[in-house]
Amino acid sequence: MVRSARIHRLTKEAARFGTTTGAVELDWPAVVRRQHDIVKEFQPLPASLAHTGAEVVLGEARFSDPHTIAANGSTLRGEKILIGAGSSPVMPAVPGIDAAITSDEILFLPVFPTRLVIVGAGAIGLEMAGAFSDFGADVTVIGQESEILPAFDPDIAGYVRKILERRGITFHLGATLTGFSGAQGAVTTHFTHHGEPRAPSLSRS
Amino acid sequence: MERYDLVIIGGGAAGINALKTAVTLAARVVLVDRGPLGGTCVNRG
Repeated sequence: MVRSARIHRLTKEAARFGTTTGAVELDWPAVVRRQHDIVKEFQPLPASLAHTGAEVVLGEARFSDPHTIAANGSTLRGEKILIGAGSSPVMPAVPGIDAAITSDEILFLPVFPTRLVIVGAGAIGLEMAGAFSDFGADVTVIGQESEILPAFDPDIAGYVRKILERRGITFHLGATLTGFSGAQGAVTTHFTHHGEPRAPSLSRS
Repeated sequence: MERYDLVIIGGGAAGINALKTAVTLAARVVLVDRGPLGGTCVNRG
């Protein structure tokens, strides 16, 4: 999706590079379809692991004792158990959270969001902010810390923020999310900035 | 009840690489995943 977004932006800017185009339009369903196809291509099939001699059980795993896993009707006893269950987005317990979607769902939105508020100024939030801004959405990012990318050196983070600001992304940093109101498609995001409530902006979240 | 040297929960980047390494050590391995395989990186960007 990030690549689709960059190509969209570069095509819009093509004249500056000496290539003229007609009107540039976003075909959002095609973007989602391409992404879907790539995911499918990379999903390993259980059969692709058969040559290793290991077995694959599809189903939710549960511990029935410290060395025993129950999954899909099978009972599997392991000398060692390795948990590599991946991660999922946190949904903060704020009022109106049901109106918000996660970074998983944004990849499969049926309709392109022209205005978007992203809560979280870490790598995933900014990846989405950059992509949707490149596609032409009006993007606002709300971050809890005083600078974006808290896991990175502040001088690098500030540099990245300036680039993204130049592309039109709005940042509210040092902000605390307090909730959402409205319904999907017209969600208002509420937050406080240094303890002061901020006038909420009407945006798709 | 089936007995294994290693039970891996999760068929993403970590789980599949652990499986491939463990089988080279002749371990008896089973991997459990609610599907589809591939995990967070592949399936959710």
